[in-house]
Amino acid sequence: MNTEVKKKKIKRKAQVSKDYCVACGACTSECPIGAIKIVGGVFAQVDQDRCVGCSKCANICPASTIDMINMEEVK
Amino acid sequence: MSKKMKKPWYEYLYFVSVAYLILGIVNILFAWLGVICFIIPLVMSMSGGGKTYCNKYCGRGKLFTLLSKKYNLSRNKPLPKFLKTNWFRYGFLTFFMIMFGIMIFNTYLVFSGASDLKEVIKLLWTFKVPWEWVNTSIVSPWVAQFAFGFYSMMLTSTIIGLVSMFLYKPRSWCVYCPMGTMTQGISTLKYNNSKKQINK
Repeated sequence: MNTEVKKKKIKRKAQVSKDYCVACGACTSECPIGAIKIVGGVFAQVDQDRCVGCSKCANICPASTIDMINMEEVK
Repeated sequence: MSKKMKKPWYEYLYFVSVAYLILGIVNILFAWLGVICFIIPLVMSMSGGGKTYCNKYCGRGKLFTLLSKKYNLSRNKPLPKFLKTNWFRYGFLTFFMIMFGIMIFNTYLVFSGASDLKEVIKLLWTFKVPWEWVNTSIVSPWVAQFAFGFYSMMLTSTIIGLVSMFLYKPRSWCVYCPMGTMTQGISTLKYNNSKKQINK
């Protein structure tokens, strides 16, 4: 019997508060993998699948509208 | 050798914000120019430009960015959570609009002759600062009254924005800026409508 236990790994991902984002684009130019885009000139959107959780966008956001959230991932 | 990237013209719009405040000190009647900053963002978002005004052309936003980046005047701390709630945002918008309404009403009282022109600037809606060095007799008293009221509002919101910038992140003011809240509402409605049309 396979007794291997699946471990849960906590991953941090960036999440934009769409309602408060001013779409200034500071995060898009800071993201090292280009995982953020401005949607319709209204808000920034993070591609959760590509986000590596480096926090650079959250640190650069001049309006503090990007939070790093914990996401559990089954490994 | 890498050439220094030339900044686009709108990156210098902080100049407009500073010039507005200085012009208001020189002659209060210049306060009327601030109405442009009220109309343009709304027109832009209504015509489908989203929050282009906020992210590209807002002189105040550019000023806060400049003061924090160049002069290091911001502590760059994250905004407290309560400032990012709908309660605070819409509460502030409501308060701001009530104050705007009172200002319009005061202008009407002067227009109708029921009240005299008050040559004062009200800071933070509380502190009255005498502002009597400009001869405003060249215009109707109600025109001057509106200028005093409008400049008070602009100066007050600039002070609140500067305090927010200093305490938290540079553009913390943008999170609860009444104009930003309005353009956000319009832009979101427009964005959702266009998404619905695409999905049809």
